Amino acid sequence: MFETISLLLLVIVFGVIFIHYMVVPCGCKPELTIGGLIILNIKNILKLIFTGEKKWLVRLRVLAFWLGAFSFAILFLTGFTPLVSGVRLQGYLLMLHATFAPVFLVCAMVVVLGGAAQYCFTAKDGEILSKPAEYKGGLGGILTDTGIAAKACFWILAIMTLPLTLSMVLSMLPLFGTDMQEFLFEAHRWSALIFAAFAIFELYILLRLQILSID
Amino acid sequence: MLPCSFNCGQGSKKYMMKIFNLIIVVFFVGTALASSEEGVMVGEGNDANRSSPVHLFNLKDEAGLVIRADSEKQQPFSTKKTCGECHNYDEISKGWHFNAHDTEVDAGRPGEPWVLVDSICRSQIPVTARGWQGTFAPQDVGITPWLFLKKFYSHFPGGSYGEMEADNPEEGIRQGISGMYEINCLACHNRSSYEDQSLAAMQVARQNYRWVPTASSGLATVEGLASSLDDFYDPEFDEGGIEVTYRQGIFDKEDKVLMDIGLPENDSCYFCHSNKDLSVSSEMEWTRDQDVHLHSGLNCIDCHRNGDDHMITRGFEHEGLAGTLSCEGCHIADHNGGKPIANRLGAPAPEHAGIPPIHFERLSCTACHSGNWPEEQAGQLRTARIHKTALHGQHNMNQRQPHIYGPVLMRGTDGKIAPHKLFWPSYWADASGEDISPINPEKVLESAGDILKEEVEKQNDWRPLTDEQITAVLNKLRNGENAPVYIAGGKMYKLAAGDKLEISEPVAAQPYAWPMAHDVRPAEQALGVNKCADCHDSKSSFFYSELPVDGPLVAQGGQQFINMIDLQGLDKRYMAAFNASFIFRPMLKFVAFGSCGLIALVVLAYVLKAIAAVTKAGTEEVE
Repeated sequence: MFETISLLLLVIVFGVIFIHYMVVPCGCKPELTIGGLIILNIKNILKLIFTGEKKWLVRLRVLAFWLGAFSFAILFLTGFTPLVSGVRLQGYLLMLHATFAPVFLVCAMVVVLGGAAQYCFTAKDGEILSKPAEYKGGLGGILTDTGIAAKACFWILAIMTLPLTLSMVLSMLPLFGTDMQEFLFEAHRWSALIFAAFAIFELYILLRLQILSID
Repeated sequence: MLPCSFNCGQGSKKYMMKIFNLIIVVFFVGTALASSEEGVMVGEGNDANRSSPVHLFNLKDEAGLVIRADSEKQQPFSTKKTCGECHNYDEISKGWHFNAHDTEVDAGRPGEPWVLVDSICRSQIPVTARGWQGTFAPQDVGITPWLFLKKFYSHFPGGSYGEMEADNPEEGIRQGISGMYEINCLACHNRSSYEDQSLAAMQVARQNYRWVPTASSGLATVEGLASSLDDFYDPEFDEGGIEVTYRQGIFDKEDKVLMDIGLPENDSCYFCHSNKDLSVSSEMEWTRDQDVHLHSGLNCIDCHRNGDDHMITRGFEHEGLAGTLSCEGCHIADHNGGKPIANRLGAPAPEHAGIPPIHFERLSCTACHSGNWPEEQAGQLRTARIHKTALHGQHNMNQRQPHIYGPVLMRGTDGKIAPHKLFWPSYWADASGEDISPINPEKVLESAGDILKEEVEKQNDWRPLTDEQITAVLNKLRNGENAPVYIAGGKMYKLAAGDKLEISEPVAAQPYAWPMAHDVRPAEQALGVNKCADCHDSKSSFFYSELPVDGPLVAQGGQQFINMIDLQGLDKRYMAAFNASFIFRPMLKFVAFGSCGLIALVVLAYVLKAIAAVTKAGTEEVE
């Protein structure tokens, strides 16, 4: 059942993103292809590291974000790819998954620590939501392009990190028997699915915001 | 002319009534007789009363005649006639212990075979008609039922090969003297202290087949050797022979005998199902514990049960209804909301705290709980049946070969890693394509005895064998289109052009292994009690214990080994990397808990901040 639901949910997530992008376009320039965005961000990271324009904590946070995003991609692929072939995560994929998990977790911690203030809801967010007619793009556009959805996703992801991590790390301790171990494994799978769905939304929104800022 | 017709008178009517009555009587008597033939025997069925019935009965000989205290020449009693009086002997003879010859019986998972050992021939061949992969049926190795008894006499319970008519005239003559080796019911069911299975083995060795239960039960003394009697010996007329003397006072005034018959006790099972751990010296045998179940008050038959058919449950998981008497059947709680079966026989449900459930998909329960704790090198065992242990006095055999290793943690036929007993077959054979047919050692010795009987000093119990000797023997065994081969130490040796030896490693040369379930260790002595590193370590015995490749080959250049992981069907590189990753486990846990703690604090802080903001906003609204 998990396999079916997770595949279905991921299809829905990507479907919603596609529809949203079609209904509320965020602009299109030749340099804003996927490849263009990757190059742009690599340039930004290098600039951030070597120019020293920002404070070290900001630099660390941005680095952690991108390393975390990369780790998430590895965890997502290693975690969900076996579902397609209907097998359990095992072998070298499992080792890769377990290797990047702590990296991702440390990155998540840095991002949460460094970004909590930025992603804190403000009175302005309330005003935007109370007067959606004054903004372009309807409610869908407002949520994504004013950063409100990004903030919501940030906090959901921060909270989901806890069951996602604890469900696995607690099972490594000699505390819980087989039934609880099975429950923890299920909890890890389901929380990973929810986390992945929101993480994909978050990445989409952040990319939109980056594109809009370029405009 | 008929005495009656439809228009007959009053007398004829009476005559008709008599005939009618006769038909009725014949019908009822016939029905009664038929029903008594098809009826249940006294000892069959189970009325669920758990008391043991008293076994006071007449002993009967082979002819079914009652043996009397005052008989001039005492006869041995026949279990078929005596026990079979009340119990269905034919049905029992299809039971697991007595159907070894029957190829139609579901053989289940591999079990302990008989091993045909010939040290001069350097042969040790797994023999059984059960058809387990890697074994050979007796007839494929030139073993007739008569020879089977001669070879494997000591721990054989009778029936099966013991009751087969000999085809060979010479064996037929000897069988006429020795009689049939009927099922020795008393070996398991006689609870008398007189019951002596070692004596039974001695009687079988003497070919006193029909006298085995009589002698071993202690009801009588049996003197004489059937094996030494002349082919033309006639018990009716000839002197000498075998004499039976029943113990004084065992017959009552009706010539009945009281026997302490009941369910088998552990001692009875142990005679054939004991193992000697060679890492423990004979002097220190007292330090070994029994299976934890026995210490907890269970008996062998609590798990290894049977009905009237004597199809003993073997206790593994895929055994149908009998599978409920496996480890899982008793210990694992079933929380499906149906009728609960957990805690059967008082079995505690294991917690298995901290052990990921994948272990239970990949490992059998016995992997962690049975046999000796795995050491750097696989231990060596001797089993009662193969090494003929427990034969007392001058008949003590205690053979040294084959070398049986265990526990060898390898993948079983069900795909799970489990502890096994294992030995390396070695034999001379005819090879035709992939078909390998072992040659009976006696035939090998007929052809190449001069080479194989050369005096040599034994090494590790083997008479060593050089490549030159193998070549010479193979040349002698060459016969027409046959391609003789020698299998030993996991390799097959075959003659190639120019009398050179061609060496390969076919499946037929693989070791023969069968799962070991006992002795079960208590939970506190199970693998994993010292956490993951019991197995997930770069040097753990679970994966890297060395298994000697056992054989007589001198050219091997000393003892060779393989690791258990070679028999586990696992990717060695992956397991090495995976085991090495456990070094980082503590760090992973530290990072995970630390990160989660900080994230939780941040979330908590902003939740509190949000609450404060909401409270403040509410206050401002009021003001």
